[in-house]
Amino acid sequence: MTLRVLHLEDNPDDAFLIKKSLAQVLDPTIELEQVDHLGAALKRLAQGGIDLVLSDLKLPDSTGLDTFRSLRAHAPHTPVILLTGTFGETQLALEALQQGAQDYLFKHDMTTALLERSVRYAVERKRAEEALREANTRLQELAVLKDELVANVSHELRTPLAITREGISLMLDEVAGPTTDKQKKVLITAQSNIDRLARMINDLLDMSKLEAGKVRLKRARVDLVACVKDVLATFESQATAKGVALRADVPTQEATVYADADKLTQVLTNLIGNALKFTERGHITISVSEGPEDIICKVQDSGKGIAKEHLPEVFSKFQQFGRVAGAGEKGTGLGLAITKGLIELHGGVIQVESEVNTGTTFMFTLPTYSIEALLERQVKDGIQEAVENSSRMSLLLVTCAPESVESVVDHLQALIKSGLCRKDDTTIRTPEGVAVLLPDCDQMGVLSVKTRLVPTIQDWIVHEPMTEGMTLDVGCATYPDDAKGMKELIAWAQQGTTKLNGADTTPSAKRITGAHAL
Amino acid sequence: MKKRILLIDDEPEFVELITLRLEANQYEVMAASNGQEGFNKALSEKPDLIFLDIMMPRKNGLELLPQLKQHEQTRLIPVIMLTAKADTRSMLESQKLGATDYLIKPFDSKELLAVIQRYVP
Repeated sequence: MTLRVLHLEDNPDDAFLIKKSLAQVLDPTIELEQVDHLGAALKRLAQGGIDLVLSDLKLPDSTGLDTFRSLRAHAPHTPVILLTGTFGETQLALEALQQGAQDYLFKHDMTTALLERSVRYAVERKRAEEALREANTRLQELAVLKDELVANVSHELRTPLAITREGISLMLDEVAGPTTDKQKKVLITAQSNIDRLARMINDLLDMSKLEAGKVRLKRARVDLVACVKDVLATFESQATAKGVALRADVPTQEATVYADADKLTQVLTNLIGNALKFTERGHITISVSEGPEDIICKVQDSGKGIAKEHLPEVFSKFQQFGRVAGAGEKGTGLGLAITKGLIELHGGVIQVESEVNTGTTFMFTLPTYSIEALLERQVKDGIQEAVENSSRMSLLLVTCAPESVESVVDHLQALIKSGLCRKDDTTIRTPEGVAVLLPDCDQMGVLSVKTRLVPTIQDWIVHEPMTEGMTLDVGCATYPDDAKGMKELIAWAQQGTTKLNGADTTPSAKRITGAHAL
Repeated sequence: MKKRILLIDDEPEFVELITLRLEANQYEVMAASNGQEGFNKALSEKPDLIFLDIMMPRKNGLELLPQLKQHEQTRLIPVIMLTAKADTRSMLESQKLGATDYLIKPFDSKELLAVIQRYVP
């Protein structure tokens, strides 16, 4: 086997020494090419055929880690061994190892044996890395194929299911002639299993999307308390029929989370539905409480419980381990796995505690954000969305000074909200006032919104006595025209251009001050 | 007078059973097995409501929908998508193109009848 080595060295003495050492290496046979600056090395690499690069770090046209980075960028699949002359360079070489260099050798105590071993290992290791990379790429392709398969199969299954379901339903409704009660019973069993199959298809699709990281959360401010109450209401009749009491132990005020409302509903529906399925008598209690960093939600039942040995597998796919469900909907074996995936996507955790014959408690958390963090998070998500849709996004900030009473800002927010036309425009509370996020809105767009809002706000502060002594600052910024980063965009909008003065004891003093760059 | 419903779907067995159901509920049913035929029937028959599948040969549902919504003589007829495509993108796309509602297969026939009631009472 012949190994083609490219040696990059500007010092002729060092170049000679390496040439001499490599000449003594017999297996593999080495064909050496030497160049004295980075430009020449990159040119040679572009022609291909080089198996290994030996390189000095300090060259006429490049020094330090830049040398290695250029080599790697131009020939990512060729192994590189760095030759260092000083202690400082050795430190750099260590850093280069982390970035993918195969090895480094200290020039002054290099022996032929050491060089030979290093060359051989470098080539071997690189070969193994390449094989791993290829296998990995192949696996990723397979994962994509799997997702497509799941999507296509789910879709293809729906039509025959629809036909079968309708056929059974027609017989049940006696459209195709009379059916006896006994026949009806059989048909109902068939139908409920068709429905189960349909639920499985939905769950499979959800699971596959979650695993592929394809679920995008549509986050907004959501009141978890209201969400819990809504979901509980949908289970009311089912629980009453079973004789199980549904209780909500929730705070009187809102428990605000920044979450996807549909997905939260799905989580609660899964957990409550699950609890109801395995509870024959007693109660199911849903509690919501606020911790220092998150909101905690518990779904507690007085059902048959889960044996200790099965607890670790509760969230695994297709695990139903002998908990025989009572009457009602049968599960798909994916509900809890999906629930866990959705909670984790929200940055929360989910846990389970259970005692056989006493009951089971599922507990999940959702992170709460400070008002400040919430604004940053939402602006960040807004920018992300604009990037994905290659569109623009605008931010309008109304800042109150000095810091105002909560209720005044509430009022202001409601006022601004009523002045917005598009469904996707959202108002957010900020530490000092109110922000409006306007997706798909350019500089002209946000200016026209501002022009529309300012007179309304002005009218309000003139007539609202609680705004006495207050100054409002209205500013706006557009991504990507004004700023590209989240913090920069917020800072830009904070330099409000329109100032509005709050209520004054002398009515004549109400006016807009400052520059009107509307 | 009986309300008239046009069912555009390429699955003959599906059409057969839905026709049975609708006729049992006193609707008059016409069927077309692809987009092109569907468009012609919509023009000649002027149904009160159209059920439209998405995946069909020769002009699919999402190609036919804007045509129906743009033509002077068909644009006011409510079009309900009746499809196995359960992804959000197809739903949004249909909504954007003017679909009145969206039903995913399999569905309960009560839903189907409720939808008709809602748009052609």
